Amino acid sequence: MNRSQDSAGQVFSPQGDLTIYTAQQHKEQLLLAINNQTTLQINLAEVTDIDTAGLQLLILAKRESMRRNIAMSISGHTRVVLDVIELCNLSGFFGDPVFIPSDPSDKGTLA
Amino acid sequence: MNMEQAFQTFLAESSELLQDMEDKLLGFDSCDDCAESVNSIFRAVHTIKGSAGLFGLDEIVAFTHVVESVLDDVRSGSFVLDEQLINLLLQCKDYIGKMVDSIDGEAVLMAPEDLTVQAVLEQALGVYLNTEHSTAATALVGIDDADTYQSVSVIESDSAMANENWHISVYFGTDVLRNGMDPLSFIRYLATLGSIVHIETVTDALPGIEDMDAESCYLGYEINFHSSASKSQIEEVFEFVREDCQLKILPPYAKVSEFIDVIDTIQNDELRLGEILVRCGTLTQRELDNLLEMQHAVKEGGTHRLIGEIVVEDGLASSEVVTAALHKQAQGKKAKEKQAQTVRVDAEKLDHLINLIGELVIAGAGVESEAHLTGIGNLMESAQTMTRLVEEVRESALNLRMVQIGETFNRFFRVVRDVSKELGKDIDLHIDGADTELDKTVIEKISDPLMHLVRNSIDHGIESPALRAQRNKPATGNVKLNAYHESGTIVIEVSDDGGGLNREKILQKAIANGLVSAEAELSVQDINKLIFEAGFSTAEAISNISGRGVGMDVVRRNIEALRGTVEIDSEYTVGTTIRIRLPLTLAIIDGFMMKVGDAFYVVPLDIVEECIELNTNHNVGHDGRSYINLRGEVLPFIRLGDYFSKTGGSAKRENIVVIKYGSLKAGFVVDELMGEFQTVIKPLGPLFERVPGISGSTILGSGEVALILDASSLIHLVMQRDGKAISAAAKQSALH
Repeated sequence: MNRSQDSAGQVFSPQGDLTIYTAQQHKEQLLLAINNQTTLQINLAEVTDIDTAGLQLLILAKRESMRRNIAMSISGHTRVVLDVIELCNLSGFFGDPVFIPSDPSDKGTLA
Repeated sequence: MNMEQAFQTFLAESSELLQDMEDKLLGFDSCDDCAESVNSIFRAVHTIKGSAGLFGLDEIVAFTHVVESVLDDVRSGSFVLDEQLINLLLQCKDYIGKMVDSIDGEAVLMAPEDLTVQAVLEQALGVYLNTEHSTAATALVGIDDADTYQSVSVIESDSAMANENWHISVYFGTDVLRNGMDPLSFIRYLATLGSIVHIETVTDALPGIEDMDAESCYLGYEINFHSSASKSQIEEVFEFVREDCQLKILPPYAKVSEFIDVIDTIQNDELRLGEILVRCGTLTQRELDNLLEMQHAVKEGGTHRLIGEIVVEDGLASSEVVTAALHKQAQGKKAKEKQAQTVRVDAEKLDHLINLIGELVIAGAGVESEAHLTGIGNLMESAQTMTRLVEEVRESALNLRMVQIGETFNRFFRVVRDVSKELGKDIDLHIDGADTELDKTVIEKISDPLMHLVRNSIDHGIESPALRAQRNKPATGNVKLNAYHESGTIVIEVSDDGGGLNREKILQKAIANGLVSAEAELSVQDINKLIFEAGFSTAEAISNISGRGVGMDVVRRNIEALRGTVEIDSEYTVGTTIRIRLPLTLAIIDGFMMKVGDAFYVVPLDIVEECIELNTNHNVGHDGRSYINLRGEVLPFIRLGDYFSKTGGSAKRENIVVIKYGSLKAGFVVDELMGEFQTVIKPLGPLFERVPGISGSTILGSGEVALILDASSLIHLVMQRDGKAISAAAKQSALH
């Protein structure tokens, strides 16, 4: 778990699993990251697994930042995160540009 | 229908479905509509899974589920059904069949070695599932994006079909995550049952960040789901969380009232949910507007309970109801049409009917002969009409038992495929006369001997590719199954273009085994028939397919037990044809009745060629050499009176009945010709079973007993006798 302050504001970059087992910790970190900020960046590049609890946290972050008028963006979507977001049809909700990793086995992903 | 009956139906249905699955798999390479084939294979597995679940056969459910998953992926086009997968699925089919067979009482009892087979199969299937997973993951971004990114436009164009889909509305309880379950996995599993046309994640229940408990679940989903699965199957997806979630499943063509119900019970904010439904493509905006209006009106009127009624009164809603009703009706009609095509009847009932008709035939014959005795014209006429009707009833009753042999033949595609692969030979199976009909009991009893003959043809008949090349034959061997009717018998041929019988080798082996003496003179047919002797095999190598020298004698015995015969035509290095000749039916035949002294004899009418008077010119057979010149042909004959040792004065005029069996012809000399007679075959008691020349008995209308002659054994007897007589005569003349 890294929380760093940079010029663009707070960066929340959870590491490892973003699942029910770690959800409580991540939520506290997120709460810290979101408080008294104008921008929030969530970097998911280090996320290895995500489940409903993790997804809920992302939704929570998005909703909360919308409510507080914080510009929030998610970057570094990994495959597992993308899968879940797509499965739940939430890419529109988050509205982040998604960088699709070019993997030779991923035929047709850019279609 | 009680449970036991249902269970029997399950067993019968399973074997039919598995057979269908096998046919489809084997015919996959050559089928026109591959998608339909895959669908029906899938349906077969799916139905078995469903039925097995009904009876709590969890082992079958678990295994078929894996197979089904793989098939579903094939269906969705994740990978193609190639040779390798067909083989694997065939093995799975066999294994499912084995599981079904092993059901004892209420449980599947599989031997430990079978379970290892299962593990191997499941692992092999798992490979397909895993590769599918990774492709599915990439596909999610690729293909599904067409749905999600441009969701609005897709839904608009989809709105016309939207009603065809299920709508699933599921809201998970707060403790679901803590109970170790992940709602996402249910959605993923749901996606395996069909395709998620559109999904909306409902996050409204998510509280503010301070109040939110990260370990509670606040999510709900509205899903527009396209699938051929049943409601209970969809419900099963959520089985583990059923207690812990609010689940509403609306079938395709659901009524508006049901949507109102969903909106009412699941969500307080109906506007929001209505929008979601529209976004899912489940409802169109117009439908939603109407719906909300209606709901509003209903609420204002305070008659909340009457939603259904008001909905029906409304024009638009009732049209939907009508659509749903029409759809259901169409489905019902389809099912009915299918039912009308075939009726499943207990074989026992059918046997009972045939028995009764047999008795009716006997009784009818009695009535007719009594009527003749009275000499009353009207009575005679009525009796005749009745006899004709009884005949017709008999015909159609016997037809009930007739089935086409094609189904039995088709089974051999699998055998040929498997065995030829095992032996490294390339063999095609050709089938002719698949629509030839014969008695079901005969078919059942003939399929094992046939199986043996086919395996023999593949193993011993067709040469190895190298040898075929040496003999200038095409590398692909041919095995042919053929069936046709010939003079009251059915002929089934198993032929191959393989090596043929090596008669010299057979004779040597037979002499070595002591089956024949070294100086015996054997005809070509006789030598060929040696392969049907017990313990006879010329194969140098014993394979696990054939070559042990048991089998062919069993084949012959089985066929003889059906009153049939076997012939072999074979030419060394060119090929072999084995011809099985069987009576059409086992129960009732059209007979031809003859009388010798005071005894009645019956032969099947179909084998009677002609009847001629035996006059003194013909009567040359006093020294046992009985043959006449029939229009320039030698016709050996037998005096039935002599054969059955009937004493008594010979009649003034004797008749000769010319019988043709296969290629053989012989005459039976009798005193009187009685004519056509419907014969109900009654088996002989065990004491007389082995009497040569008689195959059964029948009861005449008068209560007298007539013997049914076994034409094939009598003809062979005549041939043997004459053969001996001729060779004896030849020897005598040689001595002189």
